[in-house]
Formats: sequence, structure tokens, C-alpha cells
Amino acid sequence: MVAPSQFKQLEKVGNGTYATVYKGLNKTTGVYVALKEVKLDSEEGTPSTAIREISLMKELKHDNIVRLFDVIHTENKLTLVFEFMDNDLKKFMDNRNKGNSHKGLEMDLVKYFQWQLLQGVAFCHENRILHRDLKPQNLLINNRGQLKLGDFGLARAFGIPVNTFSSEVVTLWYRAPDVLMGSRNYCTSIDIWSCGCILAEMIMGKPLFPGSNDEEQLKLIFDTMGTPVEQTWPQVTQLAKYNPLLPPHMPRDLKQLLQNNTEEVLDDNVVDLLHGLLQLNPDARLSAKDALNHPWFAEYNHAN
Amino acid sequence: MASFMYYPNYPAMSVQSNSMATPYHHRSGSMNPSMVSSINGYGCPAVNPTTITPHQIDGMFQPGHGQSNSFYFPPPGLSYMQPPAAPVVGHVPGLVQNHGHPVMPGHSMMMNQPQVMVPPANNQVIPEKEQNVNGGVCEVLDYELNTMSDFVTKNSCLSFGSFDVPADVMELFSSSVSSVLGSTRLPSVTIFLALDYLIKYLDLIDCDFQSIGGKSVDIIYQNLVVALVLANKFNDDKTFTNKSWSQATGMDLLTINQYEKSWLKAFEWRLFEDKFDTYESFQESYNAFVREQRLSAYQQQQQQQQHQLSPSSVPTHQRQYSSASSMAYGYQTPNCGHSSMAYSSPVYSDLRSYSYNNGYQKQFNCSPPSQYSPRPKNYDNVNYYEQPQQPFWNDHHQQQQVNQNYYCFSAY
Repeated sequence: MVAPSQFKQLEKVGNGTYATVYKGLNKTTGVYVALKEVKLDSEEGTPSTAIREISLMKELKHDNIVRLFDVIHTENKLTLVFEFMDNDLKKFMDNRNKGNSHKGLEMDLVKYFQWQLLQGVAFCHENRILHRDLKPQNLLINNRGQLKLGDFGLARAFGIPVNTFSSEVVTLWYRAPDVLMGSRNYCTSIDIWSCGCILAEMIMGKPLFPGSNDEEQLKLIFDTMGTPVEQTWPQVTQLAKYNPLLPPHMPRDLKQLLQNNTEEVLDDNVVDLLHGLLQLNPDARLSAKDALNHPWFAEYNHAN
Repeated sequence: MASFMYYPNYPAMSVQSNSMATPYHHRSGSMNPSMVSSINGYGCPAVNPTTITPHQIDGMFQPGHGQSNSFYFPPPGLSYMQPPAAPVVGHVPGLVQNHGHPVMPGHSMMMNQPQVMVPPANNQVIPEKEQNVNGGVCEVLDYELNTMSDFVTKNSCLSFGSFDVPADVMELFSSSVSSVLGSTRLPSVTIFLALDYLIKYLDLIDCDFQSIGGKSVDIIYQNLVVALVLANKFNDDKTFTNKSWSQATGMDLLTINQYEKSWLKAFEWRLFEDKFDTYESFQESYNAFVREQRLSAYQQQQQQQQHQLSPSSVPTHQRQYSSASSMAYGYQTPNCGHSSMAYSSPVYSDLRSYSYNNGYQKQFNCSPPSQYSPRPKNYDNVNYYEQPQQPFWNDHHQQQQVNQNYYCFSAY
């Protein structure tokens, strides 16, 4: 436990009702940190988001997961000391978009980021932790091109049986179709869908499925990926919010869709990987480990 | 290649250019994540309308539920607690207080009679009105409330090494636990996690009971409550505020906050250090407990039939304590036993799993050795783990097991 005075509080990095994030300077080491301050409410006690975030991140020490250095627990404030990251993927992409134009990232960078994303996710899943809120805002990057998973406030442990999960997780645009249709026994595949959405977004420079409500979100997904039927997704009709009146759509050609939105030349491998990540049927989705072994990442795999 | 052979590659369809520029784009309104102010990836769930907020359940919490049982409300006057700093406004079960968080039932146990425990009047049943099953974490409980309450109560006492709690006190304790579990409706996994936390916490403080105010039933209860608070916050998507916990348990809010803080400090916030690898042991242990309870009830029934002419000779409260599960038998050594205690060394099964002991020792290497440790007595027997791992907890072995006391309530 470190004394709060060890850190000099610098400018505010972000704000919200749950927490405020400041840039901070460790006066002893001269290292910058991110100070996430959580106001404590005596009626609530320690917020469950903080309890999860801290207890889970303490088990996750990995190059592609933001490191939690310390926790300072005072009477009315909880301060989480994180490693400082310069930027997040959303801002990084926004800064490249001028006005209304959308410009994706260079494919080499897309691949490097996606590789790191999947490394971080694979590590979480190996440690029986679901992130449940993967999106560009929560992927932090630094000036060395490192990408790290942040914000584990929605994360939770899995693997313990007899348990149901909330379906109110993951920001809408990155939420898997099974979760949108009310599945409560999702597992690691929930994060994989988000990884697929993020990959497409990095390529196109804009979100793949920008729905504004659950219904529209599903419509956007099915318009592109095809409407699921029992043959392609067994038991889909049993899901709580399955709508039998959905208009049948054949899946669109993902490659062409992406190619229309990028100046880069796409190869079949990345499209194949995307298909694997964006399987409607959660059981058919790739695991993070499988995705890392995909031929698209051959250069990284051979390097090792 | 095999790994990506199992999803279909859909046939290519012609796609119009700019197909993504559908009317849905830019029509997202306030739900549009891009329009929600972000505080970058260090996260700020509350600003995001599509993510869950903590203690989401509170808004729709309905005290009480459809189950009817005599332990649902603790009997008047029952108190394991010190009285709350300020008396809580009484309320009618089923009504939600309009200030702050709704009330969980059960605070009727908070009477200003600290340390006084009045045995419940037999057959006292507080009638429950038709109530929603909406409140609490689980709509459907994966356990029988009274059985689980007994299990939790006994495990808690065992964790503290309290083997000599009088039966009537145990029963009161259990009915309080039943009230708490009934109003929170935690899933069994969260309850087991809480019991695991309780054991670990006592180990982390080196079983220095003096430092936490002793090992009276009050103290056991209070620590159990905090274990449940933390397990709920860690493991469930629906969580309660500490105020709700206070109202459900009769424990003073400030005390809960204080305990919570000292627990987190003792744990160094590491509530998932061993990935809860004792879960299965707890589950097995509970299953054995359930079977034993059933057998005990059956035996008692037989007994009653034999003594039909003199029914008064069977005290009703013996139902749960007169069986082979009685405290008189040696249990598996809890994490911190007492040197003065002579355990009768029950036969251990494979349930006190190797992995548990391994993990436990690894993480809590501050735990004292020998009989203070959670290890089975025959842990040092090199042949122990080479013994045939007979799954004798299966149902068809029930009779034999129970008769030979091949079980314990705790998972270590």
C-alpha cells in the first residue's frame, strides 16, 4: 500500500459518475500513472464494480492487460493506480477521421492491434475471466503501439457451474447476437464477438454494427451475417428473445463489404478470421487461442 | 487448419457499395456509444447506458418471496447482533421504503436485546402474503432454504472451531441465516464462495479471534454476513448495497462497511486468487449434507412411528441435531482448530482434494502447520493420494456413507 501523497495528481483524463481518472506522477519513481478515483458511498459500501475490477485485475498480469499497481482505500475514496497509457483505440481512430470521412487503419497496424487484443483476451479466458465490455474505448494504447485491455468493471469470473449471467452487458454495438436474444449462459464467446466487431471497425474506420437499440442491433447483424435458422444455429429458436418473424437474409459478402470501406487491399485470410470471430452461433465462434493460430497471424506465429 | 473449418463460409452474395451507410447509421441518438463521453479505457461504466449498473436489483426488489417456511422470519427477539446505532424504521414486509434502497426482510431480528437469544416458539410461522419472486438474485433457488441454512450455519461455526454451540442457539442462528438467504436469494455458488472466504479470512488473520472480537455466535454471524456481502459483490450480476444487507441481516451499516474494508485489506483484494477451486468440494459436501438430512428425517419419522403412543418424548428441535451429523462427531479439522480438541479423525475421501490443499497452502503459507492447518490429518501419508479414488459420494453409496460418517460438512 502506498501513501496517496506519493502521487502528484495531474490533469483529468476522463470523468464519469462511477469514477474520475487523472493522470498522476509517482514522485518517487518519476513514472506516470493513471489514478482512477472512486467515490465511496456509505450506503453502497465498496462498489461491486471496484471489487471485481481490482480482484480480477490483480490476477491478470500480462503485457496486453493494463497493469493495476496499487489500491489506496481511504475513508471516502478509493484510488486505483494503473499503468499510464497515452491513448485509447477509439480516440486513436477518431483522430484519423477527418469530418465525415472514414478511414481505417493500415492493415499492418490492424493486424498488430488485433494480435495484441486476442493475446489479452486469451489470457483473461485462460484465467477464467470474461471481460464483457470490449470496445475501442476500453483498449488502451501507448506511443509504442502497445495495446492493452482496460476497464474490468463489468468483468466477471466464469467456470463455476450453476450460474446465470446478466444479458445487460457489453456496449450495444459490440454485443453478441446470442446475448441480444437473451442468452444468459454465454461464456468466452461473448468477448470473441466483440473482437470481431473491433477488427472490422479498425479496417473500416467506423463501427460494423452501429445499432441504436437491441432490435435494430440484431437487424443490422442479421442483414450482414444472415438470419440464423436452426440448421446454422441449433436451438436459436429457443432463445428468450428470438423473433420468428425476422425477415430471412442471406449473409452478405464480408470481404466486399469491408473492401468497399478501405483503401487497403484485403486478403482472404483476414476475412476468414473475421468469419470465425463473427459466427452467429456462439458455439461455432473461434476461441481466442484458435484465432491467434489463424494463418492471418502466420508472421507472428512463425516469429515465435 | 482444422480449427477454422467448423464454421461455414457463406456463399458470396452481391453487395451494394456503401452497404453500411444504412439509415441506421448516424441515427443512434443517445444510445450511440460514440456520443457517450468516454473517460478512456480506464472505464466508467455508469456513463454507458447499455451496461449494467451496480446493484441493479435494488430498484425492483420485493422483500419476500413465494416460498413459505417457518424460518423465513426470525422469531422476535432473536438477535446475534449488537443493536444498530440508530433504530431502523419499521416497515411492513412487501413494502419498499421510498428513501434509498428497498428493504430486505429480516431486520425484525434487530431488537435492542444484544446477546439475548430467545428460543423460537415451536411452530411459529409468520404468515406470508402472496409475494413476487422477483426480488433477490435468483428467481429459482438451487437449494432447499432450510437445509442450506443449516449447512451454512454449521460450516460457519466449524470455521471458527466452535463445536460446542448449544442446539437451540444453532437453530436460532440457522433461522437467521435462513432469513438472510431467503431475502437475498443468492445462488448456491455464491454461498459456497462466501464460506470459502470465511475460512480464508480466518486463516489470513492467523485465527487470531481476539482481534475480531472473539468467536461468539454474534461474531461468527457478522463475519458470515460480510463474507456473503463480498461473495455477492464479486460473483453475482445482481448485487445489494450494504444498506440493504444491513436491513436484511440486522447488522449495523457502519459495521458492515468497516468489516468489508478490513476483509478486503486482509485479502489484499484478491478474491479470485485460486479461481475458487474448492467449489466442487463445497458442492459435494453440501450434497452429502442433504442426503444425511434426509436420512435423519426418515429415521426420525420411523422413531416417531415407534413412539406414537408417547409423542411428547420426541423434542421437535432434535430433528437437525440428533443425527449422525451431530457435533459430537469428529469433523474434518477446520482451518484453525484448537489444540485441545481431539478430533476423531473421520475417514477422508478424495473430496478434500489435492488441488485444494495445494492451492490453499500455496496462497496462505502463513497458515500454521500441523493440526491448525486445513489439511487432512493423513495429508502426510504418501499413500493417501494413491488410494483408489472411489467416488463414494454417489447416491447408491448413501446408506453406507452416512452410517460410517464418511463425510464432513466443510470442504477442506
